[in-house]
This record gives sequence, structure tokens and C-alpha cells, in this order.
Amino acid sequence: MSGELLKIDDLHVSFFTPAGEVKAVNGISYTLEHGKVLGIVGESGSGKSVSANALMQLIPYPGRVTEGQITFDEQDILGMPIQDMRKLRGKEIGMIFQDPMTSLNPVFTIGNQLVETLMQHTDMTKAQAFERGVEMLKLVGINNPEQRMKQYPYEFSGGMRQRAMIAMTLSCEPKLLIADEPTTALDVTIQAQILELIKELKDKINSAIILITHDLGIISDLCDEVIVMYAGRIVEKGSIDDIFYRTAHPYTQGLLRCLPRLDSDDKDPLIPIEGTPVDLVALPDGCAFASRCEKCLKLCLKHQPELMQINEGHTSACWLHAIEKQEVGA
Amino acid sequence: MSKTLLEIKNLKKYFEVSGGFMKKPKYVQAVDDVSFQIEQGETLGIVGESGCGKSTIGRTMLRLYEPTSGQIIFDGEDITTGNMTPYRKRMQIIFQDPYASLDPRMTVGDIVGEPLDIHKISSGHADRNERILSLLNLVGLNSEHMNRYPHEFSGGQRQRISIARSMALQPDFMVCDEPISALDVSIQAQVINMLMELQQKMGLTYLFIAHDLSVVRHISNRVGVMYLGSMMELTRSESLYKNPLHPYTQALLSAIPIPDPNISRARHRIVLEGDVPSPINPPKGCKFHTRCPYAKDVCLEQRPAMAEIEPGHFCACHKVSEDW
Amino acid sequence: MSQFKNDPGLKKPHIDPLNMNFAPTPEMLLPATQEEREQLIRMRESTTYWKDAMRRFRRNKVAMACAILIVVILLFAWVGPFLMPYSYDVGIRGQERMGPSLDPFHPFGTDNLGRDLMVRVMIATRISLSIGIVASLFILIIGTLYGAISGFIGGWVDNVMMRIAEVFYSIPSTLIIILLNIALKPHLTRLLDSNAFFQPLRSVGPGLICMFLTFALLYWFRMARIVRGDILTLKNSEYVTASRALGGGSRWIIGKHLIPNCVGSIVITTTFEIPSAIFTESFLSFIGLGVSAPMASLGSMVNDALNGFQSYPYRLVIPATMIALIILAFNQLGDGLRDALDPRMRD
Repeated sequence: MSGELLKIDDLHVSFFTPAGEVKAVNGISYTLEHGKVLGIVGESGSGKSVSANALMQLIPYPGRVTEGQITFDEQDILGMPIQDMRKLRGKEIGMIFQDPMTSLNPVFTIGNQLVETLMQHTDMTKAQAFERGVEMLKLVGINNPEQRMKQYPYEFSGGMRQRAMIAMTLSCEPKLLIADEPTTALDVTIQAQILELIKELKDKINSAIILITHDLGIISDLCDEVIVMYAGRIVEKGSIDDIFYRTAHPYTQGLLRCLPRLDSDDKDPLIPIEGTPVDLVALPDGCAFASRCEKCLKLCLKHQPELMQINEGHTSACWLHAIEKQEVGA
Repeated sequence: MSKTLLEIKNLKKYFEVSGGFMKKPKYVQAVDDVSFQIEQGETLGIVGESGCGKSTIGRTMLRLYEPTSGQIIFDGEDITTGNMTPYRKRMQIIFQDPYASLDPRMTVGDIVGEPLDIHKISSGHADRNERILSLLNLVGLNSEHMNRYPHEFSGGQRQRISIARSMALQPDFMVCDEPISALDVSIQAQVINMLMELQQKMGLTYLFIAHDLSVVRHISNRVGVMYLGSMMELTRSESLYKNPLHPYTQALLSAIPIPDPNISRARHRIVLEGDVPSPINPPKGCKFHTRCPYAKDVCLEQRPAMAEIEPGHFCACHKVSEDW
Repeated sequence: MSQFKNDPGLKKPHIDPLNMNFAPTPEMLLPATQEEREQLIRMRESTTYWKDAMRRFRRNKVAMACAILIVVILLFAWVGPFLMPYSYDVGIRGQERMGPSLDPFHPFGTDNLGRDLMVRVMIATRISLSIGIVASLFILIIGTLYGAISGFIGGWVDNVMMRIAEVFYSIPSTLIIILLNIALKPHLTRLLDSNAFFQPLRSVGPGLICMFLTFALLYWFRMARIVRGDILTLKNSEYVTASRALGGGSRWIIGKHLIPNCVGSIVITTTFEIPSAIFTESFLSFIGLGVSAPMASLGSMVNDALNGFQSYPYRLVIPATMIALIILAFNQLGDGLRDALDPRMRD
């Protein structure tokens, strides 16, 4: 399968708080093809989660989409009435959250919730749905699925809950799976289990996946394409090799070298990205990263760079690229 | 060989969890018989997953929790019982959550000045301000920040404030309890560098607790790996990565994602089965045997003791000690 | 030169990077200085907790309106009587049983004895409000102390103290108030008469003192429980642990960390206690257990009005409306304060 599944065009999301308008997402555009795994990486406040919530019309109060368009499978998401959206959620677009406890209902058994989801979105009978549920739990590596179906979420450990959540999300075979920091709340060895599971399932199911994380290690493990976000904008976008081996944007470069690597031996001081994140209420006129960028030009202080193409499929929003190209062209 | 600053011997900390009215109380065995020494000026890293007791060890060493049994020896003195006040100036702690560890109703100046006020160190208002200012400068903040409140700062800046506070008394020993886990990636390096710089400048000794092995390895001279309240392996940080002996350490190392697609693709990951058992009712024998791929009968029965496998490299595993 | 324009899949940028609608002078391509970069970082104006809370409170229109209403009622009750030419306990001959009129000036009418009802409502409001406020102060002091001690010591002390509090809570309060009132009144009257020391209290009347006592004895529980809960959470917060690690003793921790951080919820709870005390007072006065004549409270005025309810409905409606206004205003004020002081409670 190929072709465009999701298209986001110039999306803006703002939260209208008493302290002022918090511009969480400031004009992002990207497309996602069927069956691809897209990683969105960024720090807190980069707008990575908010932009994914917009896909489900799940932006919490007092936020709202102020501009832009989202097209999913040739349907306009933002203009869609809420009843249609509810049908889409779960069936066409599935979502896994950081803390599965918040998305599992504590008073119903796991089986109950699985069957419920299946019956709501498909025309299966209860018996069929139960069978399918057992099958899904087996698929995500839960032992004794029949027994587990009768248990409540609190009887599951954190990793098991996340597995159950994945089973529930995948049971309706969504075309798009959004995983928002799916392993952040888990321990390293449990995270490894879940990552291996996603890796394994990636080939078994036909869903496209959007993986949102702050951990470049997880990105490198799972993704085909990567979007790097900073202060509500896309600063760099490209294939996984572009991002890791042909890094263009100074922010991405900074992210990649600022943490010690397990496989490197030197004890030299790390090279941090200096400064603090920008205040989303008072965004600067120029590049949001300018105050922390070592290569910052006078130009960057006043003017916002747009995404520029570096290579086929690899874009980056930095004035340095424009200048490099101009010098080459001149 | 430099001198030992701090030593714990067979330290245990059990927390009582009530089993209900008139029932026998149960105990969480948060720290179960752990011994190690920290030398002056070194950094000892402790890694492990949640619930392994790494934070409890740090807090029990400072007597923020009273130890259940065992001994804590600081600079030659037994501080397991008795008055801690004289030692508070010399032993400090910084916490994981920079949002929770600063009183929201106090200005940054008062927060950093709190230790000075408690121990009545400053000789007047001007002197107090001067001291606070030099502490703020030490962590890269300035006088402009003094009259502000913690909620006006970002996570990284708050962590700097709490480091400034713990440096106020010029301690010898500092427990860093996951000081960077709650911070953004781009900020973590700033804090790590600052901690390492302070160590060099002030001759500090650190106990650095974290769940992130790559960070611990970077900052520490030696690293201890904990699992369910027990120490599994303790060695120099280079040899932990190059030559991990304990099966749990091996799994832990292989579980960490490396931000390099080519390595990720080529790497084969050891995936541990199952979950960490409850510390209320830890497995008999070796605590790791329920998840260990090599476990044999002896592991189910007998708890392996810490043994020095190579000089300075300790490991608690029957397979490594080859006593099966 | 225009290669960016032709790149497929690229949205047309707002500023075309090369044909920029501003000319990038060579000077603009110089590296920015450290100062220039730092100028981009602006910190927001500094706000303290209370300043921030005030700002949030002022934004809340309902709460602001209620705050103003409360000020108006306070003025009405305390300044009002001085502006009126009548006294609350002296009737005017020939002006009995009048309806609301402006000439002679009796906006709320007069009662059977010719006493001006507006003055009586003013005095009654004063009495009701003082009962509410003084009772809440009792509750504030007893509840805060009890809760703070229980929460701070913790362990079995906390357990025992909270069980005792629950015993108080489980007593049907109205019944106890009635019983206490009846039981205490004669003793109090005797006590007040016997000793010159209590002389100033005599004008307040044994009924009122009795009511303060019963409130203080019975209603501190809610406050105690809230303060205890706060102290328990705060006690385990990391900044308190940090303070202990720095060598701070109990007194230091209570004074510097625990009390300042509970003030918000204590203020809120007190604001909610005022209307509930006023409500209980009105109810007790209504059934005849409150203040003694010729003193009036809003509840006793309603009671007095019951007899002639069909002929003189305004005698009942006016004090009843006053009770409703006071309770509503304080409840809304409490809500507003909670939103302002404790932003976590909001969604």
C-alpha cells in the first residue's frame, strides 16, 4: 500500500490562557503515507503532542485550532461533525498514551473494554468480539489471554497495561496509529519489551504509525521518517538517515551531540545547548531557536526562516541553508 | 588510594505497609542488605529500575529515612543513630523533580538563603544577600532572578536553584537523586556539566542516582547496579559497559536505545521476560531468578553473595562465581 | 537562484528565502553577538502568589460582584443604623403596622409596636454577620490547630485525634445545638450576672454566647480535616524533605513551609464556614433558640413575621431575602477565592 494517508497543512493551535495566547503549534505541514512510521521528536513545549491531538479533535480546553487543514483519507478532519469524528476515533485512528491507566476504564475488565470497542466499531457479535480480543492479547504477547480478559486494569502491571492498550487500539485495524510517548512511563527493560513489540507488529499490521517521543534512541529504533519540532514549528524533516547522518538544522545537531552515548568512552564535558526554551506566549519575531543557537546571524533575530529543501525529501528551517545556497548560486 | 568518605555496611530499610486492621504488618524491602564505600572526591553512580531502592539508599544515607538495620559511617564517625544536625552541613541532596523541591511561596533568594538562615551563617542582611548572589552566580543565575518565584523558571533553571541551595553550606558529600530525569534533553547536558564542574571546583563527592545508564556512566567513576533492593554488580564505569558480568546488567545495557539508526538495526536486544516482582514479597534465592535467562536450581534456593570477580569488580551471581 | 520556488512538495514560504521581500544586507549575515541573542530572552513580569491570585480573582466577575455586595451589606449593617433617625428597640406611637412608605420614612414599613423595620433589618444583619464571622474565627483557630497538630505529628496520634474528630462529626449537630443551648443558657446567665468581669459580655446576651460556643464545639471538624490533609501532603513534599536535609527543625519547617502553604485553603474554608454558620443561626433563631428580644437576628425576624404573613408579606420577604443574599454572596466569594488561590482545582 502506498499513497497519501494524512495531510496536515499549515496547522496552528493556540491555548487561550489568562496569561495570554500560548502558541503551541505555529504552522506545521506534513504528509504521511500508508504504512510508514513517522517519528515526531521534540522537547516539552515543542507542540509535538498537541499537533497529534489535533488529528483526533482532542485538544483540551482552552486550546483550539486557529488555522490550517487536516485531511485524513480524503476526509476533512477539522470540519467534521463530532459524531463522525467519534466513529473515526478508535476505528480509523487509534491512539496510545503515555499513561495507559488514564485511557483504560478502571471499573471494567480488560475483556469487557476490548469487546465493547470491537462491537462499537465493527458488526461482530459478542462471541466473535471476545474471540478476536483473545487473539489480540495473544498478539501483543500477553500470556493466558482468556484469563487476562477477565481481569481489571489494576491487576495488570504498567508494561502489561500498555500491551493491553496496544491490543485494544489495534483490534479495529486502524489506518493510523498515534503513539504519544508510549514508553516514557515505563522502566528501561519494560520499554525494551514494548519497543520490540511495536517493531514486530509494524510488519504484521498495515497501519501507518506516528510515534511521538523526546528520545532520539527510540526514533532511531523504529522510524522511517522523522520530524524535529521546536517551539511549535517543524525545524527539520527528513528520512531517518537524513536526520541522523546528514543533520542540517543546528537544533537537531545540538540534540544529537548533547547527551552522553552509552557506546562512547570519553569523559570530556558534554556539549549542551545553552539557554532555556522560549516562552510560547511571547515568541520572538525571528527564529525561535536564535537565542540558543551558536550559529545565529543578525538576520535570524528578526526574520523567521521557512523550511528549505536540502535534498530530496530533506528539509530544514534555517537561514544558513539559504545563505549557503545563495553563495553557491552566485 | 584516597580515603573513604562514606561507608554503608549491611544497610537495610524496610517500610511498613499496613496489612489492615489487626493484621500482621507487611514490609516493603526497599533496601535489603547493601554495603559499599565511597571515596573522597569520587562519583558513585547507582542505576536501577523504579522500585529497586536506589532513591531510598540515598535518603537513608542522609538519615532522611531512619535505617532499619546496618551501619552508616561518614568520615570515620558512625552516624547510624544520634543527632544528625552537625552532619547536615556536610551532606546534601538534590532531588529529581525541580517543581516539587522548591517552596512555591518563597522567592529564589529566600530559597537559596534558607540553609544560611537555618544555620545562622550570614552576619547581616548585606552579607546574606552577597552570599546568595555568589551562589546564584555559581550556577549561572544572576541578581535579577533573586526576587522571583520558582514558577517563573523553566525546569533547568529550577534545578540550578536547587543546586545553589544545596551548595550554600559547602558540603563534602552530595546525593544527586535523579537530578536530570525530569529535564528536557537539551537541558540535561547543562546540568551534568555544571555538576561535574562543581565537583572539580569544590572537591565534592557524589552519589549519583539515575535510571539512565549512559548518563551515569558519563558522570561516575564507579557504578552500582541495583535490582529489587539488592546490589547486583559494582565496578568501574568503563568495565561495566565493556565487561558486564551480571545477566541483569547485560539486559539493562542492551535495553537502552542508542540514537544511531545503523547501530539500532544491527543490534540484537536481550529482552527480559516478565515484570519486576513486588518488593513486598521478593523471590527467594537470587532476586533476579524469575527473569534470568540462565537461572538454575541453586538460584532459586540460595541468594548469591557479592564476590570480587576481578580486582574492583564485584558481582552477585552464581553463574559468574561459578559456584553451581 | 529560484530553485526553492520550484521544489515540489514545498509549501510556498511566507518570505521567499531567496527573493526575500527584504534585502539581506551583508551586515545581516554577520554572526549575532551574545548580547543580541540574550535580548531575545524576556522574562515575564514578576508576580507573587498573592498578586497572581488577585489578578485571577478580579477577572472572575461573579466573585467580584459578590465581594462588592458583601461590602455593601457590611456598610448597611454597621453604618446604616447611624443614618436612620430611629432606634431598633423603640417604637413610634401612631406609626404602627405601616407598609413601606417614604413619608414618614419607613422604606420597609414598621412592625406592630411601631418599630422601623429597616433599622431592625440592619441590626439583625449585623447580629447574623457577627455570629457568622466570629463563629468562623473560632472554627478557624480550633480547626487549624487541631488539624495541624494531628497532621504534623502523624502516626498513632493522628489516628486517635482523627477518630475523636469523627465522633464529633457523627453527632447529629442540630439536636446537639438545641440541647446545648437549653442546657447552657441558665448557667451562662448566672455566670454573666455573678461576676463583674463578664459585664461587657452581658449586652451580647447569653443566647449569642451560647451559639458561639456550640459552633466552636461542633463545626471545627471540617476545618481540622482539611488542614490535616494539607499538612500531611506538604509534610511529605520534596521541599520539606530538602529543608530537613538542610538541617531545618520542626519549628522552622512549620513556620517557613507548612503554614504559608496552607493559608490558601484555610482562607477558602473559612469563607465557606461563614454562610453555613449564618444559616444555622437563622434556623435556630427561627425556631426560637437564638437571640432574645428586643435584639433581632434575621432568623428571629422571619419568625416574628410568620404570624401576620398574609397581611404583611414584606416583613417575611425582606429578612429572608437578606439571608439568601448573604449566603449566596459568601458562597460565591468562596468559590471565587478557591479558583484564585488554588488554580489546580480548575479544569
